[in-house]
Amino acid sequence: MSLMKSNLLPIVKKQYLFKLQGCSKFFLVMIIMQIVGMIFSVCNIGSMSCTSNETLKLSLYGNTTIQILIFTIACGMGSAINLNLKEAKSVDFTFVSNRISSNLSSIAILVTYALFGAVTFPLSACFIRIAKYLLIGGSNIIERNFYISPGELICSGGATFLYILLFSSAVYFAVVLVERSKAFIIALLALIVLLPRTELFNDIIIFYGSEHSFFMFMVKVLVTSILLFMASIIISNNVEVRK
Amino acid sequence: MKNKHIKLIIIIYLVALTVSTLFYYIIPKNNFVKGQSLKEVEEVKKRGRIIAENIDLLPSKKSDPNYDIQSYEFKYEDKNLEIVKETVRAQIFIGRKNTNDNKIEVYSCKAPTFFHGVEYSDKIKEPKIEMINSILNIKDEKQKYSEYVYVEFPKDFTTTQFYGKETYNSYSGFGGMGCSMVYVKIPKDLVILNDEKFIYIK
Repeated sequence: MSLMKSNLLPIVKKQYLFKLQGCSKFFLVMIIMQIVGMIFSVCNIGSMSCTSNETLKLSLYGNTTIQILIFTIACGMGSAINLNLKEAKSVDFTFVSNRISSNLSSIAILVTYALFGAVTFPLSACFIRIAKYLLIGGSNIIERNFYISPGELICSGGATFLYILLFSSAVYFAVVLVERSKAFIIALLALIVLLPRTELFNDIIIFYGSEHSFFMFMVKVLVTSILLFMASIIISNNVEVRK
Repeated sequence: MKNKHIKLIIIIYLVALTVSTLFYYIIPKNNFVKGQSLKEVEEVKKRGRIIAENIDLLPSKKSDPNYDIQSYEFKYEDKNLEIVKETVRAQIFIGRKNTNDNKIEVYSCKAPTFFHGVEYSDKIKEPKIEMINSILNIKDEKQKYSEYVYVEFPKDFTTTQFYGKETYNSYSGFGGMGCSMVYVKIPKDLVILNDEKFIYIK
């Protein structure tokens, strides 16, 4: 035990920078997943509708960016699991640290992933538009929704950040629970299977997904994420060292 | 893979996305397929409904630029009229005038047709209307089969959640895709010989 009284913030910063180096491969995974999503989108793997009569056929392909968003959020969730793995945790003990600093640095990593996703996702939406424009020309592209205003771009980035943070914090909390007791695996699996069949699931979706005010959505997500992260810190604070 | 390589990939990726975004904002905006706004589509639908419900309004709307109405006038002095209908895309309505003015007026209106907010009425030909040897012929114009493929970029929910979403359905006006309404206005006492295929307006 060190006799020197340590300050939490510098330790968190040091741990964060160290973890960032170690977890940089996750940025690479996110990039690969986003590129896969972009390929899906540019190749018209998405919605298609068509109408015809005896002389005319009209087909419309919807080049949606939803795949890129899902892959980006999934990467955020994957990194939340990865940060709680034993190998990743063992890195913490190379520093003079405690559970709080370890959790805070992990949360900072998750926020960084979310920020990276929030920057790259809206830009990738522009990328697929320009790629499609260069591939097929403007004469087959419907003008409506082709242009994303800078305001919409910023809003999309902000919402992406909040969604990644929300899902990452939920997964982080779940992993901490499982770490605490393996019995939670069964409980979580039961929750994953049963929750979508309940009214509560719809209420949760409406609570976040039907919020049309960006400010209120931000408040809801931040409060939820902070509560989940705090709960994770409190639960993991009681876990033995190197467990 | 070494960290410095990963850093390089991240930088290249970010630069590529930023450059494409800048390029995206400067590309010319004039060669895209123009889509109508939801409000405009609703307006056209409303006008289509008015015509569908009141076919006898066609003559009065002839000069209205909001309606695509073709009109024909034929001098006709016989007592009987034969109409040859060789069309699957047009509904034929017959209305009688109050006088015997020896003129047959024909009005044709193409249904406004939209597919996801894009109007393609101009891609469908109207029926050909002509008087040949005292027989009024209403025929579908021969049209080569054509296929149009459009690409649309729907906004994802991270934008529509806060900016709203416009949902476009296909609209094929009155009577289905590419259908027309033909209103034949005949003199008071003219007899239509083959009257089983037509809808009479009282």
